Amino acid sequence: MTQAINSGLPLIVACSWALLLIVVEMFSGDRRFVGVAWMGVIGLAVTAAMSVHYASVPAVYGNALALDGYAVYFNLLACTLGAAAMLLSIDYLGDAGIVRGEYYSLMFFAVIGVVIMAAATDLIVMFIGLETMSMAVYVLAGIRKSDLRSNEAALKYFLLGALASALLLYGVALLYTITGSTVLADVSKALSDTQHAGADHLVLLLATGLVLIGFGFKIAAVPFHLWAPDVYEGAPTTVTAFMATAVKAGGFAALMRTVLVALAPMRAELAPVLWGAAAVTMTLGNVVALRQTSLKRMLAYSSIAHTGYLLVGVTAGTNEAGSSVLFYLAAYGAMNIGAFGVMAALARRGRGCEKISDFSGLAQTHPAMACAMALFMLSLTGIPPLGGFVGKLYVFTAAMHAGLVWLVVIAALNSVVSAAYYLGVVRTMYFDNAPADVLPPARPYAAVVVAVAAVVTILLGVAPSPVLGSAARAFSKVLLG
Amino acid sequence: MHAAATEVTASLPIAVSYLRYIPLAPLVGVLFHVALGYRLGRRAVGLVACAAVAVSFALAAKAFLTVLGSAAGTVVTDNVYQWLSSGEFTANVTFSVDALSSVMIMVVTGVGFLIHLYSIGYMAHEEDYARFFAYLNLFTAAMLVLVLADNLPLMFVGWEGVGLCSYLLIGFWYTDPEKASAGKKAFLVNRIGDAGFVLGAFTIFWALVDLGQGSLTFATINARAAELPAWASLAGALLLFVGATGKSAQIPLYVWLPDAMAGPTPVSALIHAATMVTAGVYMVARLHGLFEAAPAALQVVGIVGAATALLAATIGIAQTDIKKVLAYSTVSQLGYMFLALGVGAYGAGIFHVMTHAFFKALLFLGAGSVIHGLHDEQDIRRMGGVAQKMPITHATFALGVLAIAGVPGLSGFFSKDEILASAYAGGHFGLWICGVLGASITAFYMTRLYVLTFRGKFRGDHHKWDHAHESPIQMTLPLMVLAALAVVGGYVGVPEVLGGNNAFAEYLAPSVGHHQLGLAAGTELMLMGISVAAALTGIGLAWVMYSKGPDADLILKNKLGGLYQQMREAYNIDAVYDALVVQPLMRASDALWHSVDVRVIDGVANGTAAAVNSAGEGWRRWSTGNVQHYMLTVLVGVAALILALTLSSLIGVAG
Amino acid sequence: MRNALSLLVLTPAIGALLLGAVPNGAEALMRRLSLAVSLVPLAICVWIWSVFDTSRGDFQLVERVGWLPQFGASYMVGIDGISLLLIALTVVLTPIVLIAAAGSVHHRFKGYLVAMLMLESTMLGSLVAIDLLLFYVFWELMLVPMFLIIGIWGGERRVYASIKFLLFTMVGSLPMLAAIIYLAMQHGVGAGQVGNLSFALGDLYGTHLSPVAAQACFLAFFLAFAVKVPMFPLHTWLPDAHVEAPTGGSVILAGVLLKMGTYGFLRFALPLFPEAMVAASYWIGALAVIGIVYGALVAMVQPDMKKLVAYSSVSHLGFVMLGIVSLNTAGVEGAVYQMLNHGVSTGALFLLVGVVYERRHTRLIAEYGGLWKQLPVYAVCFLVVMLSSIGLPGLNGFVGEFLILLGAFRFNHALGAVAASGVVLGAAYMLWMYQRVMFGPVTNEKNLKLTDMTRRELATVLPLIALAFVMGVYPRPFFDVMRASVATTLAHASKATAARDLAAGNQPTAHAAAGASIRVRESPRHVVAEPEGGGAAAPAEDSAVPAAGNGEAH
Repeated sequence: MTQAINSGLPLIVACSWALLLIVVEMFSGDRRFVGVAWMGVIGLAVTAAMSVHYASVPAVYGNALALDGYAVYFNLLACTLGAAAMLLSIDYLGDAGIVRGEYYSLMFFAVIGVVIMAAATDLIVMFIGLETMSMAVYVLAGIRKSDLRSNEAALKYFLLGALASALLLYGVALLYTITGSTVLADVSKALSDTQHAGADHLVLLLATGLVLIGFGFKIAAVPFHLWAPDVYEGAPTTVTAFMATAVKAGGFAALMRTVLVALAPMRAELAPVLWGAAAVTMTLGNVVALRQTSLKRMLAYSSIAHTGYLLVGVTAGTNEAGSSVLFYLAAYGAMNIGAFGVMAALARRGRGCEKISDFSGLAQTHPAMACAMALFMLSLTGIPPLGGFVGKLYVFTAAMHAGLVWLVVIAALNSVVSAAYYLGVVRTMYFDNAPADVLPPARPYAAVVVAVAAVVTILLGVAPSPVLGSAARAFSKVLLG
Repeated sequence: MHAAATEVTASLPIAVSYLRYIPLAPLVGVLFHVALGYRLGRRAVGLVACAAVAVSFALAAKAFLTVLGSAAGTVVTDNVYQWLSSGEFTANVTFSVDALSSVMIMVVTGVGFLIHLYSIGYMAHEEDYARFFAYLNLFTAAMLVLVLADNLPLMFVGWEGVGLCSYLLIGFWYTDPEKASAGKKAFLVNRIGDAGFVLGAFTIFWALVDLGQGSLTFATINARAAELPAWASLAGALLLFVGATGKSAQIPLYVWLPDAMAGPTPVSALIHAATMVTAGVYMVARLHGLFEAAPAALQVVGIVGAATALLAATIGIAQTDIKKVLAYSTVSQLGYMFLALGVGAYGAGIFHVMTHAFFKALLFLGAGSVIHGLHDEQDIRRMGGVAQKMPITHATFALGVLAIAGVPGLSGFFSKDEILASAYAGGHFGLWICGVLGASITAFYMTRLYVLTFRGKFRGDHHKWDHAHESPIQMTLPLMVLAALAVVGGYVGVPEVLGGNNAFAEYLAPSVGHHQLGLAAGTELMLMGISVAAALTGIGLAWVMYSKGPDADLILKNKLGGLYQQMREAYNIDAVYDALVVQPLMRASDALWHSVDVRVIDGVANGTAAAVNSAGEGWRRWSTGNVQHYMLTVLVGVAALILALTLSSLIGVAG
Repeated sequence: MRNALSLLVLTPAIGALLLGAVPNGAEALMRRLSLAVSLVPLAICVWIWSVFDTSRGDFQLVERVGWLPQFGASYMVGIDGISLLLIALTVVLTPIVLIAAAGSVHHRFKGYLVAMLMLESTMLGSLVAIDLLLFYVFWELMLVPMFLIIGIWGGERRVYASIKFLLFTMVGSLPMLAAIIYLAMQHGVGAGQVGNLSFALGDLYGTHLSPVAAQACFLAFFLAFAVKVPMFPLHTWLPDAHVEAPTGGSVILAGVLLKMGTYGFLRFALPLFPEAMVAASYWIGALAVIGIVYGALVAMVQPDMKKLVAYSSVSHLGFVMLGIVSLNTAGVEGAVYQMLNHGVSTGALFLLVGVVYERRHTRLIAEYGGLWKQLPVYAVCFLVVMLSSIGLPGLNGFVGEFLILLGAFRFNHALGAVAASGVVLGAAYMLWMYQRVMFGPVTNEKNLKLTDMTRRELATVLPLIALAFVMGVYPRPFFDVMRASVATTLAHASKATAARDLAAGNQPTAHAAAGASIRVRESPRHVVAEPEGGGAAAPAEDSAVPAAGNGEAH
């Protein structure tokens, strides 16, 4: 019982803190809500600290939730990314005219959603986490009420998201009819104990497919990716940063537990499908990213491509591969937060800083920002010795261990394509001349976040051992025997 | 006959350490000219240049006397250092002087010194004085390395070095594009030969490695040539001979030499007559053991030599430029030398190298003196009667003409006669006929040259006549010395049938073997008579014809028709080469660049990029922004996914 | 100086950071500082040379620090004679390029110096790395400063050229990464252990691979290195990169970067996949010879001096490749020497082209003519460098070319003979260019005002010219340094090479015997680690192993 309370405590505190934020916001005199933002950051820190403190392996609440290493890892990741997004937002929101204090509270809730998704060991709980996260992000995406694009993006996201959620829920229900449980471990056990033939088998396949789609949508796997470019572009940059990193992490957290634990007996059927999805997703993401002139849309497609790389790890499905996905998400989070951070740092009202050409000659006007941006782009390309490289190396190694040689080769060739557009950004910043109207100086909070992201990106490349170790530990207990 | 020729005495080496200074002295001269030449002025440059060669000459003489004074087969060697070493391959910087190379260094330094001296006067008005002497000294150094080397790789250093100097000196007056082109042509044609040289060396080297003695010293090659597999000795010898045809201007690579006359006249004398062009002859003689082991190669050498001798001689008849006549005569005389080598008469070949060096240097320097005196007039049709104005030049030149024409008693007679006799004795009747015919033609065109230049009345611009003068002493002195040599130089090789003891051949025997003619005295005298008759016929005919002036060309033209025009235009070989080799190569290069590089390779690369891009563009259109459309996609995706799962499950079951 | 190699690699990078702190505008300070910084690696290199044990063919001055224990990758550096020579080349060329920068770089001066120093660090890193992953890190990282140098300080089509450079190289190098990972994974499988990852080069020698896997891995390595060399037909990035790059960029690109490809073949591809490389040697040799002839022919018709020199590089590097696949001592030693020669001669050629470019802002041959009259000193320098480039005996180029051809001729007569024609063609395009630029009357009156080389320009070219002479006349010290290392390298392939040579009818050359003895003495491990079969199934198994082992805890 104590353990149940302890395991739940971080979530309880987090929820309370999020509610508290709404209240505080109402009384905040500061229209930039600096205090609220900081309070959110502190709340996330507390949540993270508590989850580390109360971590324990066994699942609680009738096997619905486990604050195991896996959950803690995602908890830390989500809290860090959420905090970074909040700090990025402070100046950005004020200037973008988003004078809404509930912003931070919503973001907090989204983080909580991610945490629940990672900790859930029951499909229903997982669904609740997913919805908690999604609802908050729908609103965040459309928080610029006066902006048509933002509204459209939010609406699109919501409609498609609802569809995906419905499909997911339907899948869960079907799975329940077959296995009689929504607890991951029990589903797995039921699936491996009984042979399903005929109609039963078809239903099982249908259920599997629907579940996959639900998560595939969140992680923007092809062909469920179409919303991503529009929403990334329409949402405020700081929200996009959050979506690209934390939301994706949540999606993968849930997907991996579901696929690798509950659906483990279906590996034989799933592996080729995942293989194909990984190949198609990364290829399409990279190839379409080539044609983008908007940095945000380009990063959206790039994030689709990275989903593809991550799916390579999921396809491999080994312990090593799982850890590699965890590490990759951390590295990916650092560099993407950094990249969006640079955009947020330089954006001003009426000048979104969202086109690649907006960064012409940045190296001369903002050498530090340009240098950081170049770093993130190089890391996204997978140039060593940066975090992105080690992430890829890890995933590729694990995949190769699992015998996915060709998938690795496809991924390697994809990296070449990606170099073309990532380095296109570097080219614009370094080779082109600055336009007459120079971008304003970088905002301090954002600059700090960018700097930290840059340092982390480098550290994850040069000295990744601590994170590699914790990713490996975090995943070590996830897979069933 | 060949068996008789290969009795080479085992060498008795004497180690010394002064040989290295023979090429080093002129090299120091080069450094001096480059570093200080422009600052210290002409006198210093001229002095240093001559002094450097004089030092070389003195040391060369010392080596020569050592070899001469020691037992037959003595070799003086100077092992300086190990230059290259890689795997089985080693090449040392080792200089050695035996009988053969002692003759060569004496000729190179001796004639070289005279030409340096001559150049002081000849180039007196030249702006780039120091540069000229730097090249000249560098050439001497390279040539000395070539002849002193005891192994093929080191010889190749000199071999390419002289080619470089030739390039630089031909293009000395670089502001004239034609002269610069001639220099380039010389270098490139030589390089073709050099590629053959190198490949020949490789062939021999690896064959020797297979015999367990990977070495490219001449001693090893000659000693073990007989053990080489037949293909290796044949291929090696032929490839090396390709090198020789380049350097020594034989068919098919002779085309650069006539153009090389674009260089200053002393250069033509030194490089393109007396020394460098004989390098090929020297090399074949040096490797006589190898060539003996490949009789077929030797036959090729002889045939190419004879053909070149004849071909160049016919071209010489119709030339109007004083230096061009001499150039083709050089090509022709070199042909004789190869003819000699081809019939195994290496000693005779080298003998001709030496006498040719004397009289051809003399003739070139004489021609230079005339050109100098007539203010750069080179066309013999606009000369005549120069004997009046330039008595010394005239007298010496006349001796040169007589020597090359093969008039008995002069040096050319002895050496040429030995060659022809050897050809006949070896049963190479065809080669002998060619030789005699060539000798006759040589006598004819040389007399033509002499008559048109020195006899009769002046036919050119009277201003030039008024200012014509004898050259200064620095120029005439070398002429006189060379004339003396051209006269007496042959007496070291008087054949036994004429009461001599053929001392020259005896001296060379340890290096290249002794070639026994084995002819009856009567036959030998008869052959001599035939060649003298041929020479005198040529001289007489030309004298009669050209005493009336250059219009006598018309007689020939009428007689020979189109052939004469071809002869004047040197059979248009240059145009043929241009059409067959140069132009196709250029066109191919251009086509390669534009088609392969730009169209194919970059086409593939850019095409791939374009394809990826257009795929991106196509897939980008997919995201229309339309929600219904997106939902449809999602649903289609669902169907596809489930289908895929089913398929994979079916395959799994089947498998 | 136990950390000499690390110091060597790090100094330029640290210098670059220092330089970054210099305020903009203080150009004189930047110049002096960058030069001072670049002299440190030179000094370290001299020290290394002095302590280098030429009798050993294995890696010396080895340092090893844990880096990614999870992957079995470590920061492991060491040198043998081959890498020492290339390091020497790098540390000599970099100060020269930095001196030259003052004349050729007119904007963002500091950035240029920083990029150059970073480039030096990464190049040195690639040369000392003896851990495959570490090598890959430096190998890829090297692209970035070069990309920037071409893209920022380049000519008109610099963007196209820099992207082309980058993409060509990456197309090659990413499959290599896959192969590296695969190889690291196979480590130890042959010896009956379950493959635990190791990227350390020493561990990977003799790794058992199935023939197909070995060929696939070799192909990936080949692609990466062949692009860099560049071998025909992967060379088209080079002319563009050279034409657009600033003078210093071209010098380093030609001088050092291209050597990374040939170095890669010697250091990695050959010892790791000897059978595959030997099996492919005729194909590679054929491509190399095509490159020699093709590069020379295309160079002949180039209107742009730099493009001409670029194509000449294709031709020259063809020689190097031919020497390498000859797989005999003369060929490989010649190839190593030719790498140095090409760095010296082509580096100097680019500097010299830069001299007139800075004055006239054109590199078109047709714009010049008769320069000797105007710039005699320049013409003489150019002459010497050109002669070194076309392999005139007595200068450096000859030694390399001669040995390569010697080795190649042993390897295959036809290839050797055709390659020899490259010597003729090489002279042809160079002399023709020289003639058009230097000789003849001054036809373009813009050239009448040209001034001869400045003291700074001389300071950049003269050291290289001196080197060309020294290396041509007295090459022995260089060969002493490489001898044992080349023997060791060849020993890795001795079995396969001997089989090839026997099949071709040649007697096995001495190195096979000599090499084999070195091999046994140096690393008896390889003899033990003969394959025992059963390795092929391993990758499929081990995905199941951890999954089975970790299930109980739940």
